[in-house]
Amino acid sequence: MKKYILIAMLILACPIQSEAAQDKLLLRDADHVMMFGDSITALGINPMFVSDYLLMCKPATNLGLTCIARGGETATGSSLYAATYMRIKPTVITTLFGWNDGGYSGPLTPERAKANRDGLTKIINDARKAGARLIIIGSPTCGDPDFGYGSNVEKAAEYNKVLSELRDVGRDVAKKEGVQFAEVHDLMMGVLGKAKAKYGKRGYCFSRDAEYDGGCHVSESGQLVITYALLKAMGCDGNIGTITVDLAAGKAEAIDGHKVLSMTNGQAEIESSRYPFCFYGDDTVKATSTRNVIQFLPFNEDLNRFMLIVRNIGADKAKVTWGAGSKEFSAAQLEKGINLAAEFMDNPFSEPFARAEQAIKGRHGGYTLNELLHPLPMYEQYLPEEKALTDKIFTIIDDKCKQERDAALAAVVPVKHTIKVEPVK
Amino acid sequence: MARYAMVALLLLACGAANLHAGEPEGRLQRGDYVAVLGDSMPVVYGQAPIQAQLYSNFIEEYLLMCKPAPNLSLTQFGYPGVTSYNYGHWTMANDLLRFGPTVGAVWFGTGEAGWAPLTPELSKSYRDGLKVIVTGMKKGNVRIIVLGTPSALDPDTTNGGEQKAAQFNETRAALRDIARDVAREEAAIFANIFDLMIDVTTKGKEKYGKAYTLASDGNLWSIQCNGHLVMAYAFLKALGCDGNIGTIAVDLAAGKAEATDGHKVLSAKGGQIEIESSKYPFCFTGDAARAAALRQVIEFLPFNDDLNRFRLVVRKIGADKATVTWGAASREFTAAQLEKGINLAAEFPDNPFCEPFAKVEEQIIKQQKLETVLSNDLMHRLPTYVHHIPAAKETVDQLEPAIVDKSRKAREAAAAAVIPVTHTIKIVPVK
Repeated sequence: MKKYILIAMLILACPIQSEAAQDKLLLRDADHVMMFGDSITALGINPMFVSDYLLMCKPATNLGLTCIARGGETATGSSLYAATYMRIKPTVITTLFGWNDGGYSGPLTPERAKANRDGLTKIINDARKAGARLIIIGSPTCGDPDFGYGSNVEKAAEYNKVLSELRDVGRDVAKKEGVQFAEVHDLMMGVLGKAKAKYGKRGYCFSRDAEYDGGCHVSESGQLVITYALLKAMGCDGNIGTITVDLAAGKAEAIDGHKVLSMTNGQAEIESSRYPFCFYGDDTVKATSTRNVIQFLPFNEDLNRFMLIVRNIGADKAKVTWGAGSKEFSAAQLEKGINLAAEFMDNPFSEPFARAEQAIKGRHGGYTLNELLHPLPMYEQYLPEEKALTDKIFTIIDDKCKQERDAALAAVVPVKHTIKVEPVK
Repeated sequence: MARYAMVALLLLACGAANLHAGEPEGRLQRGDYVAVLGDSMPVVYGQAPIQAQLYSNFIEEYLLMCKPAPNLSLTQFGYPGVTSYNYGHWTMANDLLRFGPTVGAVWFGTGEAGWAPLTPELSKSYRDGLKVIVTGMKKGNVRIIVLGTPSALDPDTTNGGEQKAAQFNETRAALRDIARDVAREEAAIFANIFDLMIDVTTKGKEKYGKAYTLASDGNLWSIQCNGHLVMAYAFLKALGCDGNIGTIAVDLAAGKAEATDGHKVLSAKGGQIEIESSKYPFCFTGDAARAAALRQVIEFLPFNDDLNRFRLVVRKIGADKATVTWGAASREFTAAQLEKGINLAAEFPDNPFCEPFAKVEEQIIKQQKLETVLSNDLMHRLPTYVHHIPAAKETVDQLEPAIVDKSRKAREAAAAAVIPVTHTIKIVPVK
């Protein structure tokens, strides 16, 4: 009977997830995501974050990611080689262009807008031809209005206008072609606005070198905002799992990638194959801190809900200990459910998450894959008689990519952790 | 008897030509394959900058058409933005030596000199770079190595004016001296482009004023087509080209004509000589602006005298003067001039070779563009594949001969574009 009550409780917990995540999950098991972009993506930070999420938070199983972004790239430039990249058969495509497409001066010329539009359209068409199922056109990011162009705010505003116009181009293309659109530009501006409201106009910037590059090459904070937008566009519902504890009955249950190993004296030992997303950094250097930026970004609410529900506490409050951290919550809070990922920034997943991230990092292809894939069409163009050799080289590259994706997947191992709930009398 | 007289006349003409050209420093041989290497050097051609090492076009045009030795070929291995040090240490063995050249024409320093004063680090890096290049080439069986100096800046076009130009030219002059030292130490040939450019620029300004220049807009690399011709001259001289394109000797009274190697008299009748030439004189072609610039610079550069002597010697004219018609153009010369010999290439800049010359040039530009990809991209990236995916080594290694073969075929196509030209010289005594 108590088991049924627990199941009912779990079902009750589910609407929290579906309500928060409006979109239907568009990813499927074994999807292979390929990220196109310029140097902002080629830095490898948002591909790493997206990969962290796909592999550890597991919105679907056996996901993989390849990044083929290149410094200085435009949608047009990338479209020239899109068909080559598609030979490694991604099922999901994301794009993030704009800074180079705009030409670094305003206003946006019709020619540049057209080139961006044509480039995005060609990438979409090539992706479809290659069998990609889900295509996400990311809007350009934004410049920092207070640091851009050597603190020339007029120039910064002018170029943000260019970027916003390219955002509109991207949105139009996505609509016309019936693909997904990730609104990165406005989201970043919004987060930046909130952060500056708290820290001051020049007290916050996404970029560590804002004065140098106009806030173009955003550090970890801004990269997390990009990641959020892309994951939302993939339809990730943010449900990492739910642990439900009936304290009076001394029982616990878990769903979605989590298994209760034991439950004794309010202490539940759990084995989780899905991790909550973990954040790092502090206020010392805000630009590089993912932990700092989430106060302005609903990452935990929308993408990182690892819920603990506690019933029959027998007191008005309870102390929850997870790993080395302890916090008190009211019984009402615990009955409704608390988000462990948000409440315990340092938690038993922090270390395995960082370890897995280190193992995943560098397995996205990135610069190396670009070095290998990008020239292949040239070999094929200039040495058509050697097609057998170039095909063989491609196969070896493709195999290498698969091996890297498999190795990244293997780096994510189940984590055993303990949650202790003690009523506070 | 008349025949022997003609032969003597031809020998005399050749001797004079050699003396005029001076002692050659290197000597190209049949089948030599010249590698031109250096950094990028955009040329401003009209209004549009063209990313091309034009001087390597000129050198190949000379080798293929003027034929200082038979079956010569050339590949342009210039690599944008590279220094001698980096090219010597990291690039040359893979990107260049795998093609198997026998001659190297090396031109670095302009980019390295940049806009800065000379530093001990720059001196050392340039010297080491040149040394590594020479040593590597010798190991790679390159027989002749020419070290060219950096180009010179024009004080009237350099950003920052005369003072800056003087300062930057000091740096370049120091690099020139280093190149000379290395050439001496390593038994390579030295090509002093720097001083030659200064000399030509000075003479040009003396005649045409400050506006005369080999550079254009103050940019380090913006050498105009006339400057590229100066560079080509320096390299060709260093390669020992004697400048003898050929001699046509005519005995007007006897109605006979003879020609040296590379030219065949098909007929000689009534002062009209029909000749078939497999060696072309160098032609100063291109659109009006380029042709004019090239024809202007040779006022100050002894290109025709030293490298482009296509001589016509006429005896027994029977008059004090004669009109010589070659192609569509006619000119009068004194009998003394014609008996001594005139240089057709210099006297007739528009001549029957200009059109075929331009056609070959097109083929050479096409070849060099292709080879830039073959060397700088396809060959250059092979080690990257092996480095990142050792499992692909065996497959990647098979691409190397394919790239080399493609390059060879491109060079052969350019050489095949040089077809014999039939032309007519008409000599009419002016009574």
